[in-house]
Amino acid sequence: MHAADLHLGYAQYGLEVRRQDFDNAFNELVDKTIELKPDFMIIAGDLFHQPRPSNVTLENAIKTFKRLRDAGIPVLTVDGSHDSAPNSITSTILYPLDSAGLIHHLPRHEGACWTKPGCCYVYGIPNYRTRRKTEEALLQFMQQNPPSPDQSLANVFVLHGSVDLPGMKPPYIEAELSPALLPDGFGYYAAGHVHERYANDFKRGVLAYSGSTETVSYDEARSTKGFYHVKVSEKGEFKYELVELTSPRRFVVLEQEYSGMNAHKITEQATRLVKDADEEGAIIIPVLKGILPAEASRTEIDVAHIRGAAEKALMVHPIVLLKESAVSDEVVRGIFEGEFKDLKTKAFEYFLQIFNERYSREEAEKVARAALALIEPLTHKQEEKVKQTLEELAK
Amino acid sequence: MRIEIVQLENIRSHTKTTVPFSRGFNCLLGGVGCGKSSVLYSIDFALFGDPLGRSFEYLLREGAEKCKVTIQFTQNGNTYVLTRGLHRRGKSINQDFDSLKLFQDEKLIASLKTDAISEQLKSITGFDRDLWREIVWVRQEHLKELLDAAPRDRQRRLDELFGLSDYELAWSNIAQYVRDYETENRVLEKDPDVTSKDKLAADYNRITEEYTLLELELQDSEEKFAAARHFLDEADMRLKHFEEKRIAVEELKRKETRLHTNVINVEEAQAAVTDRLEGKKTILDNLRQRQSSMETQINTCLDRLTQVGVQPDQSPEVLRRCLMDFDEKISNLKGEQEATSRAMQTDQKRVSQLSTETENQCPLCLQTINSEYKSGMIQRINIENADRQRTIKQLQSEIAELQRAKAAASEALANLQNLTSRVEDLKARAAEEETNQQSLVTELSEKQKAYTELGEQLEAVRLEIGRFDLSELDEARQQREQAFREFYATESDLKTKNNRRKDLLLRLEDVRERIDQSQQKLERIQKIQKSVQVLGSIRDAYRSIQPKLRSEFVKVLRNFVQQVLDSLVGGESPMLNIVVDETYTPYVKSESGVHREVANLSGGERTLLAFAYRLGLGQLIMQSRTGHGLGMLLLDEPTENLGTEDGSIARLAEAISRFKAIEQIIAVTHSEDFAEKAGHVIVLEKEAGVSKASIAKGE
Repeated sequence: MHAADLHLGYAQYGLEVRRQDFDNAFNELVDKTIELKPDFMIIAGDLFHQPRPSNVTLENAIKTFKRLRDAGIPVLTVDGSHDSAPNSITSTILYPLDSAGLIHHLPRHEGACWTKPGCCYVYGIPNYRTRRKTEEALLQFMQQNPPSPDQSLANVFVLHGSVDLPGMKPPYIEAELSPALLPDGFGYYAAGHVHERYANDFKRGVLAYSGSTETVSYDEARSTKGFYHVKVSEKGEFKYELVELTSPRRFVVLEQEYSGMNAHKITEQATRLVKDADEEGAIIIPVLKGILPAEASRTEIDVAHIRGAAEKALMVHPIVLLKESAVSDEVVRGIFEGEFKDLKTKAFEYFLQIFNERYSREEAEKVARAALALIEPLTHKQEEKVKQTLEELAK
Repeated sequence: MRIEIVQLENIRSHTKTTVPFSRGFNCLLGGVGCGKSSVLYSIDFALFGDPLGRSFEYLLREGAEKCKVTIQFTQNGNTYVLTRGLHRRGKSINQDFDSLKLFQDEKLIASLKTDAISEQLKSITGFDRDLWREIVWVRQEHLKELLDAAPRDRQRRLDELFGLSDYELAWSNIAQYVRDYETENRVLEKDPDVTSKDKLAADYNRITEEYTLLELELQDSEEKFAAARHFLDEADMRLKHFEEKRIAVEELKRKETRLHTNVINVEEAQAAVTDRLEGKKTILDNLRQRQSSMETQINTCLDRLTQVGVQPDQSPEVLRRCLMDFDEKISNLKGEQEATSRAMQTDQKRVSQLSTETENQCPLCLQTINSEYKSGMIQRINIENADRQRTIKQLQSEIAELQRAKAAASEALANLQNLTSRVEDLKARAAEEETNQQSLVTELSEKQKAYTELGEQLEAVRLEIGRFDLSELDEARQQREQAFREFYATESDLKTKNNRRKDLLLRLEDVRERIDQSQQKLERIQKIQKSVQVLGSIRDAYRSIQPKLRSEFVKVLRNFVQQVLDSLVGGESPMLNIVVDETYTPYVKSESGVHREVANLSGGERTLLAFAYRLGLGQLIMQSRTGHGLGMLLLDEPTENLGTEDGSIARLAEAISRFKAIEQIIAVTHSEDFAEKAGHVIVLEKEAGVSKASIAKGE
């Protein structure tokens, strides 16, 4: 049984109902798992949405895990980008659950593995959040806990993170794991982090993302939610099969192109669209795309009106992706045409040059911009503004 | 910015003068004291409203109460009109804010306040007062001022103008923030939340684990509790069952007693009935005997009747008639007797009569009879009477007999009737008694049946009672007791655990909160450290940027000055090569490579160099401050130290006229040679102490 990205405790849109939705999905998942009676269950990260879940969420998780324990199904976990150790202060919340004997948190145990004699070898790695940290720390981790797949057994590798493969869309900007970082010799790479289901050949086995169990973000709403029921044949072939969940909440995503319409008309059309799509208990997401006419602003769209269009739906959550018309070319040319750059531009370039030696490009730009922005308030003794700028800089 | 019209009212020597300007090189030409420079002063005043010295004394025309300057200029295709005035208040001269107005395309955009106007102007034109006075407006005698200044002083002033001194100030001011951050950091690092973060983390894990285990235990306890409750319920049920049974048994016992009483009653009733039955039997026997004796009597009566000749087996009617027959017979007989006795009496009377002497008459026939006859008659009568006597006697006996018979018969009949009725009675009674007896028998059999039934019931009840085991009740009681103890124990266990759970959750919440705080503080520390580090970098950057930028400016400045100078010097004269050092001091580099100080140059060369330097600086400073080059230049007598003979004035004018980069140059000059190169010349003359302007060239 391979599941991932349960995101327990996520009160999406600030709704308690949504938090319960995630709990419900987990309960259904466990019901189905107990029915299927697998040898073990893998949760490939992001069991919780927060590193320190609320009491209610924790309680439900404990109760549900107890059912699995009573049913004799071991639960093997790794930490995810959401529930890994949040900082230097605390470990992941999965540690105490492991200590209490509810789950077996793979990276915590010696060898980072779990074996069932004559059956399988399961190895799991922790989550390091960013590509840079992953590259630094993962090799070290695997040196301390060398993966040792046994070819007479079914070998499973558990990870949370997007593997840098063509055709895979990572949830964040970049994929954290280059395929080269992952060891060979495993028949099934049970992965989490990518919320859209994915399964394909990888190395000499299969890399599978079972996807999220509830809709974490509207753009993943289209795919059905579920988990993989994985069977290993006598020959050691992994066969995976999707088990769908029925409890996840219904999402209605209304993507529409509105180019050429004015704000009023867009509001009107989106409202009508929402009204037509109104459905009991659903979450309706009108996505407004396109380019606004010149000098029109996104703020002119009456989002509240669109929100109020549905009566039966749990909520309407409009997403305005409308682009405002570009600034006219003349103005742009005017800015860059001068033969000489002004002092600020010069200073900025110089700062950038200095800071580039100490910081990443992005960071250097930020600091350079701040250094420039600070001049005015610093020379004019505008303390508040200085502090504000400094605080923003440290974010 | 391009000035189109300047209008002066009561400014210095002007009472009301309108001076138009056009694009490019404008010249204000006139002799000494004609009010040329007044136009420039007026422009400066109109734009910034700041006196050059301490007062506006230099502007207000002597004897006038108020003055006003109106300038019209264009910028980015918009036309602006700005008016500003002064009025005299006692000894002092102040701005007349009522006349302070700025129009954009005839629309008022600012008025009354100098600050508002300055702000608008700066945003429209990019100029502020300092920039204007230092760069745009080159005042008389000020052209070479910068050149002649001490290098340090020059550097300071120019750094300021370039905006470089800001970095120095920023560098020194930012130190305070670094110190503030460091102080905050020190405080935070000693914060107990931060110092005990490891403990908090351990606490969190421990409590979470404890909570998890407790939650699991709690679930077990809940199950146990549910089971205990179930047992208790069952035990309760069982006990209740047995209690009910006990009550039932008691009821049964009562029933038994009742039944027993009933049985005895029935027994007694049975005996009574049997007794009564016996009684009845005796009665019946009596009755039967009496009946049979009566029947014997009846038979006797019947016999007697038969004896008296009555057929007894006849209806009573007949029997009564028989009796009446007797009576008839008797009465007949009596009648006969009567008749006989009467006949006898009659006869006796007759006899007696006859026997009496007198009478010799036949009594019957009333005929006298003879004695013989009389005697015979008497005799016969006597015989007859004797007969009759006998007959009577016979009749009497017959009557008596008949009366006897009748009496017997009637007695018998009466008896018979009596007896018959009595027999009937008896029969009826016997029948009744028999019925009674029958009912008694039935009753008896019923009683017997009831007795049997009661006996059976009693037996059953006794069996039932016998079946009930008191020890079961005791056992059930004990079980219930035990179940209750178990229930109570699990309940209190559950309560304890629930309380612990509540407590743990609170603690968890608390620790989580504290961790959050600690985390926030730690993040704050990280942020501060990062800030301090970044601030350090920024500080370093501020520190190093000044020379760096300055050297760049110097490089560009040199380039600028050289270009301007080249165009000023013209093709014929030897080229002057300019070098500018870090203090912005220009030197002339000879062909042999020797640096010559500006002071060593000829007056004309110095003027040219000064002009080039000013222009170069102006361009550069405007560029650095506003991002675009100098658009306007006001020159006051730039031909100082230049001569007409060597053509240097003409050359300067020529060069200026070629500066297309500057949109508008307004020069004040007394030199006609200079003015000749201008595209637009306004001649100022003074008549009767009042300046007049007229266009000598251009539109």
